Amino acid sequence: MTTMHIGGDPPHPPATADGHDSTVVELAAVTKTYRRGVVALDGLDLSVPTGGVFGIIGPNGCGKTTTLRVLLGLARADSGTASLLGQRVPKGLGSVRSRIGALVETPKFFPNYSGRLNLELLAGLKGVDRGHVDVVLERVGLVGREDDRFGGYSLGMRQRLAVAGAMLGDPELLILDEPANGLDPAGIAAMRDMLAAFGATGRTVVVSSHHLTDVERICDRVAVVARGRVVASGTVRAIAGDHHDVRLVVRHPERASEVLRSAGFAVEAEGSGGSLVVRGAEAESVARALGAEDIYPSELGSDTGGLEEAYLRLTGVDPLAGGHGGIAAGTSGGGPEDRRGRQ
Amino acid sequence: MIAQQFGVELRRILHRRVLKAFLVTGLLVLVVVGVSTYLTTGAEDRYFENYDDTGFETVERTFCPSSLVTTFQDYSFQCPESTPTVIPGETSFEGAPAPYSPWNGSIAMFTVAMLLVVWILVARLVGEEFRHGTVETALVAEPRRARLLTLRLCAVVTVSLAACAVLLVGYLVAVAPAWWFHGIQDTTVPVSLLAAAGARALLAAFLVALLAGSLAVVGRGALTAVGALVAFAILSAVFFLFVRVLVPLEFFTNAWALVTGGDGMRAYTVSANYGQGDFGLTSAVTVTQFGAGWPWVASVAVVAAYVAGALALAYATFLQRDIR
Repeated sequence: MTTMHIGGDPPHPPATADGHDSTVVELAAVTKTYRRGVVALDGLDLSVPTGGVFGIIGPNGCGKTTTLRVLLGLARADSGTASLLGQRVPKGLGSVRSRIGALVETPKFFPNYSGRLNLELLAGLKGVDRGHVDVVLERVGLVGREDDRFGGYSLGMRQRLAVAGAMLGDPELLILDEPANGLDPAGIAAMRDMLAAFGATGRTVVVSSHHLTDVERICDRVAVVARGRVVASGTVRAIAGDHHDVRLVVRHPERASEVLRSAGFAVEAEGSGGSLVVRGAEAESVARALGAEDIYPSELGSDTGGLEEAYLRLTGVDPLAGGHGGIAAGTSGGGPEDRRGRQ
Repeated sequence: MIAQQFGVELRRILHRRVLKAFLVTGLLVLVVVGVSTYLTTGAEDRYFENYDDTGFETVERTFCPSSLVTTFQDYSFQCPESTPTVIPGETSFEGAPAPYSPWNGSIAMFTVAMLLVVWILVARLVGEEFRHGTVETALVAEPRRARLLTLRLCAVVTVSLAACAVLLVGYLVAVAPAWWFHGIQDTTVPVSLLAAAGARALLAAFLVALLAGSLAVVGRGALTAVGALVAFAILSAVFFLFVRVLVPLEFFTNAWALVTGGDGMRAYTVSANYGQGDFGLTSAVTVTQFGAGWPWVASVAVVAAYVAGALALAYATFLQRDIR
């Protein structure tokens, strides 16, 4: 299987003028097989450019978490190379550790320690000034609960604390594995805004997520992982754009369909209420085509299923069958998540 | 930076509840030791009671050593003025309270019990990091695994030694009333006893902490280290109760003696050191072996070899990726 690089982006961005590679993460032909023959990574190539928010999406057990674990030196790759901020992993990790913040899988802190104490210990280990703990606590909205026991936190609060821990020292690179896990809708929105703002400062956020809507909203680029490989990477717009659907409601659907078809759009009627679906189109161009004929829809919008549809197609997941893009050893598939789930 | 990280590791341990439980339990035990020592030494000495009014001619020195007689003299009891090897039969010991005896075994028992608890304490301090997964959080912040493990073990050993020192000093405080009010059986012993017992107990605690911590890393949890201790206790008990009886010449424990004609290996085994309290590192605090030239330095070397092996395994395990 080859990796699609959509949107005209080269797989390896060119070096910058000062000679430094403009990528913060590089993985080349990385393989990883767990015990019992469960293949988690199967020659995975990934390149994350500097700046912005980079999303990694894929079905359960496809290798997302293992990818992050290899990057952070928590798992050992069987073959291939990995580098982080220009340093080879795991040998060079020590020299760049203070420039990286990470949350992998579930938050892991001492349950009997307060949130603040857990963060202070982490700050000390990272060499970050203890005063920065207050800054990140405020950033994730845990002020007022920081002296409570971590064991008494809700799942969402634990997640916030872990993200706060990752943000200690304002790292250049933030690696977050499912950061929205357990958050309520307001928390998800706040997290989304926080990550987008972080990425907008020139720093880099690498986030793996199942929330395709959030990925579509905050990520500049995305890699789709399936069966231990990156099957597509590029800008979100490029990946999702090829499969954008535009839904609209008009008073005279027959005439609107005719206009759109003559403009080259693929149009399907949806139900009997004047609702139409324009496949693989941009909302703006559909509106322009209709407006030229004095047709103004009462409702019009891009279908967020663009990325979802691309995701389903690229990963080979059948949502009705409940299949996934994980790699199977024999007949049972899945990476470490699935493996743990079976234990 | 290393000093800061070491400080963090110390702080992390000092907040652990298991450490607080260890100290509280230790202090409670000390109270019990202090009270029981005081009450025991304050009671009439039944040993001599038995010989009262029996009409026997002499009491061998064994039952009234010179130091004891001297002590009795201080308390104006009816021992003769001079130090006798034979005491006249009409001597009455009725009502003589027993002085505090450093040889009564309580120091040895306390030290051995302390070492066993240190084993469990360290196993939990190190092992719980794996159970809670906090070792991963730490590894993201400090990916240099060798450094992290070294700092962590150093911190655990430091805290263990400090806790043991507190308990040993607490022991002295606990038995002080008995010493003060009931006297000391042999006034020449305590200083050397305290120095030797303290130093060797701390040395033993150091080795025990390293051994238990290493095993906890190897097994990635406290269970392995504690399980090893329990398994060892069971196996050694079975061994000494049954195998030793069945195998001629105590073949296993004295194999070295068979070759060299010298001392057996028993003195150098962990069981002799930690299981019984009569040999090796803890010999300083026992009755029969103290001052008898028991090769405790050799015992240290042997136990240190165990520690070195366990440490090597621990580093090999921890330096692997894929630790969870």
